[in-house]
Amino acid sequence: MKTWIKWLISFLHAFVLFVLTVFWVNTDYSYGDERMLIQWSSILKRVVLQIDEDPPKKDFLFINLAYDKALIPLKDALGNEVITDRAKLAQFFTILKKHQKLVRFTICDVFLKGVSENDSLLKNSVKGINDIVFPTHFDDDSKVEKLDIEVPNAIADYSRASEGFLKFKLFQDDNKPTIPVYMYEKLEKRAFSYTEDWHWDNNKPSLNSIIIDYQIRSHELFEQGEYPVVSLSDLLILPDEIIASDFLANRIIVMGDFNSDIHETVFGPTPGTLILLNVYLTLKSGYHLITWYWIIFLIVAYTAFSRLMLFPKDDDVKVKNIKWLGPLLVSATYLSVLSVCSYFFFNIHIQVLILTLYINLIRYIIRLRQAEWSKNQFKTWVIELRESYFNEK
Amino acid sequence: MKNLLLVFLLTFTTVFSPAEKYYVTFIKGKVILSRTKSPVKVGDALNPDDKLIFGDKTSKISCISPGKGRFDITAQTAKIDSKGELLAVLKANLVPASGTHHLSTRSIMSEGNTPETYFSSSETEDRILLIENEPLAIKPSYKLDNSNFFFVQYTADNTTITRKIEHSQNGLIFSNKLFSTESGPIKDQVILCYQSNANGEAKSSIIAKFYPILVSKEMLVQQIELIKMASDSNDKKKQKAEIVNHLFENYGKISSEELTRVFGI
Repeated sequence: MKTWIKWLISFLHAFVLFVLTVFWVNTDYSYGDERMLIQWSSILKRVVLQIDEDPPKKDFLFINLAYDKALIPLKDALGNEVITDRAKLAQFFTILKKHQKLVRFTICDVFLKGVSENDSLLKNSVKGINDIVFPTHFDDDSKVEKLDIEVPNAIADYSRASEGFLKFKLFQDDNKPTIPVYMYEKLEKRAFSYTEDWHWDNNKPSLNSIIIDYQIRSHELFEQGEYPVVSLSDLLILPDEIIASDFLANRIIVMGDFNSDIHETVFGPTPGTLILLNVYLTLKSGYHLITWYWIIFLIVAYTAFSRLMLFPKDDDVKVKNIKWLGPLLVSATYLSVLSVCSYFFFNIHIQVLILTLYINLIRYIIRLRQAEWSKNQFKTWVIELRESYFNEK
Repeated sequence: MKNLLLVFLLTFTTVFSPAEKYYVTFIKGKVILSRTKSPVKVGDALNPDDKLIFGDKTSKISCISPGKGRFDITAQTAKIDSKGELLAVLKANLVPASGTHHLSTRSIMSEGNTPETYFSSSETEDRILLIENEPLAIKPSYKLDNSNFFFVQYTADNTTITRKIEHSQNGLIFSNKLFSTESGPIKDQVILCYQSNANGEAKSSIIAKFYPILVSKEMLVQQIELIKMASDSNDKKKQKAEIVNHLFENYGKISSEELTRVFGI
């Protein structure tokens, strides 16, 4: 076969690999190998090489609600349940409403279920605040839960694509946005749409499952004190004017229980509210967008990869045994390096395991024509296969 | 010329940029601001270079800053100066208050008051306002049971009287009987003591000396309502400040947490 035909086939095959890549990246599934790769490349990028830039600390105020709790009676049983103190929330939002033009956005990660005597107070204090969002969830019937207090809300089911918040689904039922999407649309003046079975961000193709870029990590908040974290009670002690001018002006206000609402991530235990904020920051960085640069990068890399795997140097020589272990390791290494490069430049990992299995299967089928088949040859092959996979001798 | 202007602007912004402010949100014990020689109050704005003098080793202040968040400054980190005072420079002693967080859920109950500091007050000359039959939470390191308990000791009619303070699981309960003798309610100072029992050996220690001002909750509720009605301001913080002033001047010290817990203000 002529060399240029080999390159042409490799080029066309690169598109097949690209489609497979986009399909797998956009699904909920991920595998152990992917998790390990993402974990280590994230740590390499953000901790060892420190090539990330932390968002400015003056842009955020974290309000910990862990110590502002109240008791309400259980709805359908004896006893009480603990909720966030809604009287204090109302007091805070009354101040915030008065100065809302100064505040960029408020995310209040408090699930307003259950009835308390301060509900109308809270409702009135939130009413009229434009840039604010509260969480809601899907119930057991996959319907969006109606909150007991009418406030702007978005989905905060951290419906994760895999163990430990590897990926986050931006739209979980293709319609209702999640909190990060809601924030992104409001703050960055963007609009998501869903047409032709695909999500679009201002008419640019967008992935629905994204790998969270942890630009603000939990230890930066609580151990290193890089970002201001205050408790609501502390804040409310101060005069309204100081709260507004010194603490709220030009900031994104992030409110949540940072002590109890904790989830496991690649960077260790992280408050749920901080995960949502990091998803928003990932969107803000544009890491969900499928760009031409990424497409070209992958097509070039996949073309070379296809040429290497499908048309090796000795592809005209007849062989007795088709080697598979070496090519399998080579392809896995190549794709791993490619995935790390893709993550470093575009924050998108590619699926290594599936593509490795696929390319080696194709390669094996192609190489079958080179094998000198005989009865003994076939018998040897079957014995090797049995010993390799079924551990029988 | 451009470079000179740049240097000037940089110098100007560095020198004259406003320093980070630290607003005081909580005080335990007595803490004096060296600059003004007066006690630090909740709401005071401190500068990073401010020096603080702590009354004793248990004293502490918490403050929040717009750029750095919440910090605790404790007497534990302060150094003893030439006058024997516990001195701390604010910026050198800032410890993030959220340094640790727990994965398990925490009880929402208050950790309780430290009796050594709760039963002393320079502002009221050790007059402590106690609410009749309302439990006062004490920190859990003071075990409360039949063998471990608080008691008061005072002299009345030339007799030394010792009385055990009743307690429930919510804290110490101060009743009328505790501070009354045949000749009526006492007006003198009382000694607060704690008796602990370890391995069958009972041991008492003096915790504080104070003047108890015991008032019924109903009476205080009436006065608080009256102050609220008479107040010129609708601002809850200002109203609370007026109430606190009234109680401190006419009765004695009561903590902000107790006011919130008992009277919801």
